Amino acid sequence: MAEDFQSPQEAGSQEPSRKDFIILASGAAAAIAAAGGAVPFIRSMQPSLDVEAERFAEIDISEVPEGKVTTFEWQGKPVWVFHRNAEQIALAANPPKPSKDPKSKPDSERALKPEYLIVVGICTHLGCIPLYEGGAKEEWKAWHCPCHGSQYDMSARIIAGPAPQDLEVPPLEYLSDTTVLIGEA
Amino acid sequence: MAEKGSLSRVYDWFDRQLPVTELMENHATKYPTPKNLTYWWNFGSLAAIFLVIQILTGILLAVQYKNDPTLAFDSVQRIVRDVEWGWLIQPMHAIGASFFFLVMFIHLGRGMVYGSYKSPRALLWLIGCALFMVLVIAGFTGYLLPWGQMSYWAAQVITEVFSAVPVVGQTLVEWVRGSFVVSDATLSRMFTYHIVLVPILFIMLTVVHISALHKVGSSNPTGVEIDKKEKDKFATFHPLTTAKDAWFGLLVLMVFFAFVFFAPHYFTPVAQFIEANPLQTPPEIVPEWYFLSMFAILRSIPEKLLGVVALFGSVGILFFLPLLDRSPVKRAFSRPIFRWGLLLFFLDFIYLGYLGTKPPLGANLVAGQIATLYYFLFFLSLPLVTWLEAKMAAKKGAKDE
Repeated sequence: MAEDFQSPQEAGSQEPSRKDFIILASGAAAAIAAAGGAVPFIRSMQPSLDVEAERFAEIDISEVPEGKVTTFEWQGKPVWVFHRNAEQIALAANPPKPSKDPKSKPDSERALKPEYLIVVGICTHLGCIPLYEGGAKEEWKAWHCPCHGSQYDMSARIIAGPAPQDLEVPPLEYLSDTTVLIGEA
Repeated sequence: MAEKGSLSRVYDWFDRQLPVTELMENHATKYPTPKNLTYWWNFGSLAAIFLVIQILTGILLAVQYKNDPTLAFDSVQRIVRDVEWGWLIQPMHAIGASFFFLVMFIHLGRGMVYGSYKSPRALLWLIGCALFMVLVIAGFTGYLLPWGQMSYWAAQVITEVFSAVPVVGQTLVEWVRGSFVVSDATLSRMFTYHIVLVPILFIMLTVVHISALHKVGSSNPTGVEIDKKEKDKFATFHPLTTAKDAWFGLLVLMVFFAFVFFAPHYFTPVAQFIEANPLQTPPEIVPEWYFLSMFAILRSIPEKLLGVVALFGSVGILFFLPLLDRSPVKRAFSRPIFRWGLLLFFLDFIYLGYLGTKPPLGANLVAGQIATLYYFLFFLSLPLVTWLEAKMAAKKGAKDE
């Protein structure tokens, strides 16, 4: 409403002055220009193209011994390939304790092939790397995090501790029986 | 001989074109400081001494340091072993950081005990809080540079904190790191922040802090403002305060150099002597001692987002102190409830630091939660405390009459 605008210089006048208009318009233009100008500066701090090139990794899982975990690197993060034995598969399929993660998925959806569980080995609490114990202390427990004590089961689901989610299953695709492509297509 | 010497002619030449005399008189030779200031008032100038030490040693370190993950760790070892006097300069910077924090904590605590955040010094307090935040950033960015295991994993944990932000969390983490994990990109930017952004901000804010201080004047131990007209209660900054600062500064520097010479690694955890390994977390991640209390607050809250909010809130709430505590009484000792609350707060802060070194399990977790609760309750209860104290004072006043 035009009546709402009143500059102190023109108290009494009901019309916004030419000066008010210019101040508002130039102020708005400067703000938009500043916001636009900030985009390249903020964008320049995003991962650069050479870093982006590491979005994918192709790994060969044939060498992973049964009952053991081998660490591969993807995006600079450790990716674990856990070659599970029959007992471990059974414990993963019927876990004795439930996951704390409300969005937790059953083992059949986490491991495309039951023998191979492939997860990002970074604790979902604050990014530490959990240590493998493979059921040595308690039969269901495969990993514990040394930082704040989160505990993960044979399907790398969060059972106890401060971590909010199960270990992440990265986007992956079996290129052959032994080759896996990790990363979003 | 009325003719001036050549030295004073040079001085005059400058003084005509630059407010040299004016600045010296306004801020030193004629600037009034209360005579009754105790040594608790020395910690501001001590902070300035450590700022100078950090900047000088920092420049010399930056000359020799290599900010590349493949070279960084060895370049620091090289500074200590091969660079002339590097054995002195590197520990001065590292121990200097610890002393800077210690001095800053005491300076902040002094401000809380003597109500230095109250009118007319609210803005002075806010600028000081901003300085503290820059110091926190300096401590965090600087700790990554030696590229030891603890450097790497502390940075990993702290940058991961941003992932708690809903929706944009992961993008934000990658933006802060410049990569998916702490890496080359992260080291380069942290180094740049540490040697460019931090010093610029710190020096600018220090100038603003001192300007604000000299506009409103120092507080004093009585908690009662001294009238500027009572000339006999003031002495000029120079020579009274400069002499006091110099003597006390030298005393603290003696302790400082005792650490530098005889215990240069006193504050360095063992894991720092192993080069950063992105694929292996050290068995225990413990931050530097000056972050332990904040770390304990973060860990005591099991919910991730809330924990992070509490972490930032623990520093951020300092900014709200002038708003929360509206009591006209400045000196904590003169306030029946506040003095105990504040004492308990200091003990609570130290206890949180102790808990920060312990794994957050069982009784320690519960203790951490109680200590965290008190940390915030202390601040949030201030309006109530002020109200209760006013009631008590009114009752006492009525009795006396």
